Order: sequence, then structure tokens, then C-alpha cells
Amino acid sequence: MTNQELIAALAKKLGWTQRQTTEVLEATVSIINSNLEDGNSINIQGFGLFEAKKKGERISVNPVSKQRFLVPPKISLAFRPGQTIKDNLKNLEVNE
Amino acid sequence: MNERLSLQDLIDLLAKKQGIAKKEAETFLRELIAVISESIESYDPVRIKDFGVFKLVKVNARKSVDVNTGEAIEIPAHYKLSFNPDKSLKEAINRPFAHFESVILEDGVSFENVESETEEDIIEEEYDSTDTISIEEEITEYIAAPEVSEIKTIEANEIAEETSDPDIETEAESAITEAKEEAEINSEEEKSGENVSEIRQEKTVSVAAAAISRTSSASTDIESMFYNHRKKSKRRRFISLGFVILLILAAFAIGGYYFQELAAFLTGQPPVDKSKKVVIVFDKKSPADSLAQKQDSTQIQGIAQETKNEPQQETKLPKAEPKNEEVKIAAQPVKDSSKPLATETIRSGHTLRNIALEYYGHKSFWVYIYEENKDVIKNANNIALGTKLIIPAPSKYGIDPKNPASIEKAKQREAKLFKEMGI
Repeated sequence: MTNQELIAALAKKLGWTQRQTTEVLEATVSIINSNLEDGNSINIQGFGLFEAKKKGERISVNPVSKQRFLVPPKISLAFRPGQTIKDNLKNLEVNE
Repeated sequence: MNERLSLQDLIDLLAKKQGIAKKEAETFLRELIAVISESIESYDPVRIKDFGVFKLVKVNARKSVDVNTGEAIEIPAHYKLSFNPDKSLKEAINRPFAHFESVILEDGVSFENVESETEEDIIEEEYDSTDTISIEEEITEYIAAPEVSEIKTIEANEIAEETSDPDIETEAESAITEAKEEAEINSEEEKSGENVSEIRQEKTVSVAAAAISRTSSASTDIESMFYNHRKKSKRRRFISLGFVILLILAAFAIGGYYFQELAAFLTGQPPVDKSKKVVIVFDKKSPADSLAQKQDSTQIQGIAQETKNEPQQETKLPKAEPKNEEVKIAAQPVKDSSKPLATETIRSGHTLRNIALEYYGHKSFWVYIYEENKDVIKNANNIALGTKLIIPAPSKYGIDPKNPASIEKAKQREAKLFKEMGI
């Protein structure tokens, strides 16, 4: 589902215009993003938790050249799915 | 910082930002989540612009042990919801650390300690310099005077307090006169701090007066004498503590004061600053940014004459333009020459790499900022707050973030610099 499809589906469900939906969606995303940048985490009950996590510096070794690198610390975004969605996914059939 | 926002907080924020009813915001968010969940559950990944992609990841069956019974069980294959943040979001979140780069470690380097220590040092030193700068401005002028007179007042206090044994009021009075005299001497010695020492003088008098009243009360009442004694010892401790703190502050302030003065003296920075200001004005006046910029970079060395009077500059402008044309031709192949030559004042959290990333689009180009400001920067790893740096025009050093050769050149320079500095 692309961004456009998502907006279309939302607009249909809410009975809003596409433009309106786009605006509100963009506002939502920007609120979430700015909060995450500030180091806040966002917990949506039943869906999941978004949080910015600091990963410490580490040493990685190139397996071929045996060179050691000091990899700098970084902050990355982590998403932990919530219980409800986990349970729903458990009931999904595994194909392939 | 580090709050945990719930769906309700999100609803409030969204309603406020968009100026819609909370109810609408709530239905929107709930529907959004519902739509995402539904789509996910029908194996369809959801992509949200500027945010990221939600998708299912298959987890293969694996063997495990039941935590309670200890029996071997098999966890069946299942799906897990995973979220891949958009590149722009990733970068925005990592911005505080964006200037770091992987470093090759030599064999046998005790990396962990070295790295963490140097980083802490830098941070501490930054804080130190902020302290000294802020204190220095206010205190340095007065610092010598209050310090000296403080000592004297403390002496006077002690004398007055020692004499507060029941019957010797006269000695207390002599203490006042002593304190007065000393304060007067202070005010003569320290002409710069006259006001302060005068205030001190008044204080000593009042303190001594308080001592007298206490002595008289002490002579009449033994209980109050004990009380006084306790109070005195407390007070002495308090005073000595205050004195130590004052000394430390003074040391900081003097250190900060001399440091800045020395730096200014060594580099001859002030005149350059002035010329920079004029350059900025100049920038605004000329219509073509890139032109003015070229002009700036070529004229920085000889700018002193121009800075004397602005009117002359304006008359010079037409004359200067043909010259610029030549430079412009030379500069055109360099794509990013439209970035203005600017000055940057070092604030807390700034690093040369950060600045280079901001102005040139690649952090390795910090070496050129360093070279341009060599006379201001004594230590590239620790620049005093408030230092003004000139950001050279990209073409001056052939800076081009899109050209790998240019970046490579910068990196080589960087390596050379590190060697020189013994890092």
C-alpha cells in the first residue's frame, strides 16, 4: 500500500476529501517525527511503541582484511509492536 | 526530553496543530491505525511518506524451552510486524551524532579508554569555558577589590567576635575603627573597585556594630552567650566556606579573562571581525550572490582599506564587477559555489565537522575551515565558545561534495593534520 493508497482508503473511511486527509496525515507524521527527534517515545496502545534508542560505539572487524574499525555511536529509531497486533499476526496463516 | 507520549497526547497535539476538534483527530488516528493494521494483516506493506514502511517479516520456526516447565517446545513460524524508518527520519533522529565517522584502529590501541576520555575532556572543557566567559564579563573588573576587602572584613569580623567576651566593649569599638581604616586603605589601593570597597566598608561597620550589640547582650545574659558561641562557630565555618568559593570563582574569572585577551592579542582577530561585518553588508547589496561571494574571498586579505569607508565601496562596486566576471568563469564548473561566504560564531555543541556538513554538505571539509581560521583556532579539538570563524567560499579550496576526488583530497589533508597534531 503506497502513501497515496493509504490516503485514499482513509479519506473514504472518514468521508473527508483527499486533500484534507493528506494534510492531517502530514501533520501527524511531523508531530511524531519531531517528538522522536527530541528523544520522546510514542506509545500507541495496541499498535506499538516508537522510540529513539542510543546505540553505543563499537568495534567492528572487517573479516577479510582484519582491519578494526571504531564505529561511532548513533541514535536509531526502534519500533516494538504491541500485544494486540502480535496476537492478530499469530493467527495469520503462514504461506510460502 | 524522554517523555513517553500516549495516543491521547498525540490526539491533543494533532488537534491543536491542525485546529480541528479532538474528536476528529481521534477518529483520524484510530482509523489510520486500523487501516494500517488491516493492510498489514492482508500481507500488504504500508508506506507512509516521510515516516517509513510497515511490513511483515517472517520468523522461522525454532526450538525453545518452556520457561515454566523446562520442556522443549517448538515455536511455530510466524510473522512479525517490522517498521523501517524513512531515510530522512533516520538522519533527523541521528543528527546529534551525525558528525561522527568510523575510524580505523591501529593494532594494540587501547581504544575504549582513549575514546571515552577524550570525549569527556572536550565536553568538560566546553563547560569550563562557558563558565569562565560568563563570569569573566561581570566580575573581572571588580574581582580584585572585593576579594581583598573581603579578607579584611573577615579579619575584622574575627577580631570583633573574639573580643565579644563579656566585659571588653572597648576592644570591639577599636575593631570597628580598624575595619574602617582597613576599608579605607582598600578603597585607596583599589581605585577601580571603589564602589565595591565602599559597600564593603559599610558592611564592615554594620557587622562590627552587630558585634557590639551582641557583646553587650552577652555581658548581661550567660545563656545567650552560649547561643552566640554556637552561632559564631557556625558563622565562621560559613564565612570560610564562602571565602573558598570566592577564591575559586576568582581563579576561574582571571583565567578566563587572560585567556581571551591573550587569544585576541595573538591573533589580531578584532580587525578581521570588523571587516567581516562589512563583507556581509556588502553581500546584501550586490544582486548576484555568487559574484559578491567571489569578491569576498578574493578581497578578504586586502579588505582593510575598503572597510574604512562604506561609500567608497559602493562606488567601487561597478569597477570590481569585471574582475569578478573572471573569477566567476573559473568558479562556474564548481557546482556548489552559490553558498555564501559567512561567519559562524562557535556555540555550545558546534564542531568543525558539523559546520562543514552544514555549509559544504560533507564533514571532511572541516579541514579547510580550520586552515582558513588557523590563527584563531589554537586547538582544532577545542575551540573557545564565541570564537568567530570565517567560512571560506567553496571554490577557494576546490570544495565540491559531489566530487569524490575533492572529498578524497580533504580526507588526505585531514589525515596529514592528525599526524601533525599527533593524534
